[in-house]
Amino acid sequence: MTKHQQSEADFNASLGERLRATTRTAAPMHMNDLPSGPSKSLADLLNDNQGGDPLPVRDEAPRARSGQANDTTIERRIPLHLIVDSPYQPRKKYDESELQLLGETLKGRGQDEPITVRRLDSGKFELIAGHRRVRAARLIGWSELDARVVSLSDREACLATLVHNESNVKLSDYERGLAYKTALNEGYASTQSEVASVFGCTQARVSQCLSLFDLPQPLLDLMAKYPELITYRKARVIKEVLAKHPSGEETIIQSVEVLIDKPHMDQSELRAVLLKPFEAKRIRSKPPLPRTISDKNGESAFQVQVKSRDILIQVQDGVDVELALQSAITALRQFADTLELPKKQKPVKSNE
Amino acid sequence: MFSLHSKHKLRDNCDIETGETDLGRKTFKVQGVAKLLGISVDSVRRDADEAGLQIERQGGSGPKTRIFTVENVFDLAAHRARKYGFTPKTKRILTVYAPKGGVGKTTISSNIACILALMGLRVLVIDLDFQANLTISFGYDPELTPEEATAAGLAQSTCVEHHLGHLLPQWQQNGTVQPLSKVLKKPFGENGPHLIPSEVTLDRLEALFTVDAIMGKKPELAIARWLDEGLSGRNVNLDLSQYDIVMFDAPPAKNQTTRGALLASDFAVAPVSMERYSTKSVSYLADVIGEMKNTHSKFPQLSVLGNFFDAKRVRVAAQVIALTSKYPEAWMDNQISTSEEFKKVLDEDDGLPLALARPTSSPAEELRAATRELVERMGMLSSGTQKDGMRAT
Repeated sequence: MTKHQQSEADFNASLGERLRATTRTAAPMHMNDLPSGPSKSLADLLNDNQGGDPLPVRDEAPRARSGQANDTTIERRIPLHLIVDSPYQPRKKYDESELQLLGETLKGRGQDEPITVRRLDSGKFELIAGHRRVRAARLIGWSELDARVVSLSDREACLATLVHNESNVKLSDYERGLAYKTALNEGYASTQSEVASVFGCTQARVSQCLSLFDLPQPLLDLMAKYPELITYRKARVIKEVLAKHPSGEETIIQSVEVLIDKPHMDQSELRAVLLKPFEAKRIRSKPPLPRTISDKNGESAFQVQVKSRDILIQVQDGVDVELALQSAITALRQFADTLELPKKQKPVKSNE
Repeated sequence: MFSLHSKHKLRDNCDIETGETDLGRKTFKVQGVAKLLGISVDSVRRDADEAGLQIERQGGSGPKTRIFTVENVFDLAAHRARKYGFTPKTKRILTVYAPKGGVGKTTISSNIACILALMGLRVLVIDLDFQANLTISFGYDPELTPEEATAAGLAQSTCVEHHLGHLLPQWQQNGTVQPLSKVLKKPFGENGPHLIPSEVTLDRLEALFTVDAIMGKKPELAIARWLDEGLSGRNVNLDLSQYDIVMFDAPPAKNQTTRGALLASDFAVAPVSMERYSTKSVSYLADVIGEMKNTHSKFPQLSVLGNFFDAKRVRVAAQVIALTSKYPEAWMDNQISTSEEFKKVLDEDDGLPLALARPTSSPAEELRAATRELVERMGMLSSGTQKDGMRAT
């Protein structure tokens, strides 16, 4: 007979179960799902992407252009001095080094895709898509660019410009918010969720970016100059501090300006900076002024001042110090009779 | 082919290489070739004669044994594939992607590439890692300048002048791209795996893809477009139509280049070394692939290959359970064991993957089994040809 043991085979079979138990308790790990189901072929992938071939503009433009006859679109070269910015362009700031890079690319590769403009009555061309390329082209000294000239109404041009930018290089929260706000004001969308579907982003994003516009006007003015200054997260901190110190708006606004020099400050650093002036004031306002105790005729007899736990009584000339002390002690005794201090303190005092 | 020989010859002169033969690079006797091709010794002799291969005989006074070069072996494999009408059912694109560094990706890639070619498939392998370990594993030196090569008496083909970037429009700023023939390396001759090598400037491709992304183009499709054009054979300067399988060796990154290769691929193999971080990395990869499905409805089928495998270790078993319970379909039946052989090969058999350098070793055996499983997973073989072409046991 063998020992009171599992057979090798049984033991081995039990190992899996043991491991399963230990791994589960010891190390729960999040593991993403693998996709299942059929995959497209390479050819299908490319076919499906051919429609939007070289330019993303075509993907978005139809929405903006819907209702407009497409055959009014023409492509031609346009001198740069005839091209003007779109008044609807939400972008406030162009990164110099990115424009340089783009300029280099233009120089090297030529212009891959035409910019999109519309003709104004003045004979000039207003940009819909290509604000960055126009700036880059000026930077490298080009005189003209390939452009697709579309005929759009103001309203359509506005939406096309807003939507085009959303899909392009990173805009700040403020610039996005501005675009969303314009879309709401101009009636392209009436709710935040409609805005989200027009711009192809989440409703949360819309509400985050729009939340910036709850900030006081001076800060909005500041952001018009420095669009990247306040992210929606930082705005949340500012609002929180404003709610805590409603009277200190001016101070808070002044403090926010540190972001101009320190744009990479995180939320908690910003909170500390914004709260600092208020903490300081609280400390300063504490030392109370000395109180004056006057005689019958209103002449000052005593000056009483509190310094943390000491009471300093300054006795004025003409008052008997000894008598003053006695009456002060009498008054304190009377007061002490009304007190009931926690027991522990008494033995300590009596021992001394 | 010739130039590589001369390179090794010269290395012998410099006493760099231990040198097994006059040629400097390992050669094979009939028995070794039989092992590599998974056929009998007699078949090797018969087919070699039939193919009319120029095979050297051992010199000296002993028996005049045939001495096969690596090129001879691949030539023989190709001959047998033709003779037995071995053609794969479909062409496949495969990415060997290590979601984490140090899992043996390059070793797996170079060996799989060689074994596939030994099966008689036409293989192109593309090094996407600027560190170029795969390129080095095939005997090239990506940092060697042509001047240095000349000074050291090495063949110019030892240098790497071009890489995948040079074949893409992004790199050439829309000018003319290099013809494939300028870029392509054939480390083991015409019938061995072909290589699009890499060198350190390949990582600039990533910046160019980023520019594409900024300009609203879709850089993730660049490799798919390139492959589609190449495989169609439309472009004489980029004819990839001869290849049965195109393999990418992709570095552990989530960048545009790697994602482009994965998106273009039908299959992906992720070698995992059996530890927790490596297991986690499969989850990241699953996420990347899932995103591909959502965005493009195209994604590679994933196979997970256990590497440095040691079933006796409890930690390994724990990771296996984690992987098999989450990804039962992806987990491969074959694994590659931990083996000192890999390190020995790196030190001693410069420029020759283990499957070639040590055909009788047990890791070589495992690599062949894993590659067979992969070919089955990729559905490249009909059941009939499987027996003839894949007796590489």
